[in-house]
Amino acid sequence: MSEGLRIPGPQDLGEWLRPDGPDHDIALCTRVRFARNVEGYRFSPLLERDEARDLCSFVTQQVVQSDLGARLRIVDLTSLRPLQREILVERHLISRDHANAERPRAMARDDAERVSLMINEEDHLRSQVFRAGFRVQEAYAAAEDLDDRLIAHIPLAFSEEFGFLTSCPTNVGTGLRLSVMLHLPGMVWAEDLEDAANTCQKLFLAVRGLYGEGSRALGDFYQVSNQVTLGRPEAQLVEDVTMAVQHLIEWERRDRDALLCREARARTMDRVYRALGTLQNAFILSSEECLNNLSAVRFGVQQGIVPDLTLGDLNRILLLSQPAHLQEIHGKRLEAADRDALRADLVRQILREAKARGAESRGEDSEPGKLAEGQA
Amino acid sequence: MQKCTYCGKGQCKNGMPSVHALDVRDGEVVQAHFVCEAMAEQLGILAPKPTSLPIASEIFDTLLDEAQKHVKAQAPAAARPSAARPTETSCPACALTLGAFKQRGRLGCPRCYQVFRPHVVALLERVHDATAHRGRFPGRTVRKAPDPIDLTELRNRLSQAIAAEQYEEASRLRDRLRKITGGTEGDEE
Repeated sequence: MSEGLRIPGPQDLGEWLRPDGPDHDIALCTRVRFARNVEGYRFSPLLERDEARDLCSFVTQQVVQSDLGARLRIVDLTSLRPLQREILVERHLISRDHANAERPRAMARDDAERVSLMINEEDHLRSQVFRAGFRVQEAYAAAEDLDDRLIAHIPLAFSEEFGFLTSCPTNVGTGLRLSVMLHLPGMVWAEDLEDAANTCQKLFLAVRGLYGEGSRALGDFYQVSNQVTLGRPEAQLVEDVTMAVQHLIEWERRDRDALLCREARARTMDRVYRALGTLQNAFILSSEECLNNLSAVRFGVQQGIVPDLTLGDLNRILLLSQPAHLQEIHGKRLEAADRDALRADLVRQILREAKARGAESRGEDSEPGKLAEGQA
Repeated sequence: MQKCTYCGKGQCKNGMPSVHALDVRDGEVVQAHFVCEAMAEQLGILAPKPTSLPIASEIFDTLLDEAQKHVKAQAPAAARPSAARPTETSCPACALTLGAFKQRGRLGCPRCYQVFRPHVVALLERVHDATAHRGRFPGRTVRKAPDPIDLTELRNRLSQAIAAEQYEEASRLRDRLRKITGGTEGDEE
């Protein structure tokens, strides 16, 4: 196995994994999305190919002619290879449905990956703004500004009664979806997550896994978002999500502290260092095993009990260990078994580099081949 | 087999005219007509079968269309369209049927919000616990949406104007209602 993979550096993480946002120990990223449709066209799922091409052409022309044209790069998704589209999905710039659809479609993004537009997704235009950490208000302000610029050039389907009209009535009204991606291992380990999700539901907020389907989210990553888009002004939705996330962050911090107190501490430390040991030594890592062990190590790094590693290192692993990024690094398509081996190589290499960096900063000799010891 | 007096066909489900229309003069039947359901609907003898709860604006559209056809065309009965009315509500702009909407949970175009209004409103109540927009308008940051009571009042006034055959007033109210509720309602096909 190659131990010298050319791994993209921290500068390539994109906005959503930049490890310096407010409350970044728990909140990875805030995302704000508006769903909009162009007046005079049927909604995307019913468009004929010619109409869809016409729509994409119209929207992209308007974007180019607007003052966003200089900031955004437009990409015709039909011209990309499937692997290139999967990379955009893994970077959260487009949805999986948008990547896999067969209709003519496009996207636009800025270089910092703070803005992306999905053109002819389920709705004609879905604009997204990302901000690292917990920044709902700021991300919303940027998204509203983006929306205003788009509205100035694109006539939208709007009704004073129902608001911005969308293909699915679950998005109608404001068309606004505010999401905060949270890492909640404390609540999962303390078995508080169900209570938290129920509380959120009463506030018309949804708590979903960021990775994986079903009841348990892989890697203890969750996405909290507003469930309703109609009948409340945008400012209230922003306030609801902000308040709920603040509450969840405080709850998570309490649970984390409790997990490191008295008799719980040894068990927690054992869990963290077993996970670190697996990541440092495994030669085969599935996505699920990688994410779940990363969660425990991330907890350890955030609580200051694992030296040398930073959230930046862990975010690099989080992004690059995904199937499409792994294949891009390798330069070709890989079967699942080969990906698991390559993932283990990548993780070992990033952890070794982090340990060497830590040793260097302490003025010690680093031994790249030696395993890191878990010292509490 | 008995044929329809007007179209010469049997377009009802049973394949034969099922509407028996009688010309009555001074209390006595002077002539009997056998009319198929489709023709009876076109002639206004039989009310179209409602497939969803009608709303005032839809009733108005039907009435206004009929009135306009009557005034403008003054065409002989034979020249009137003879296509049977679809049995399921569908959107005139995108052809999405109510069944397809219920099955997929997606609407086909902006106009569907008005065409399937009763079903959409019921769904919005369930999903959002609300039926009216309270957020920003295009190009404006935040403006309070009109109170839904205003819309109800507008629809009531529209119905009253139609009932009183005040078509000019009804037309004005319809335009105002269309402006508020989407702007595509009742466009000429």
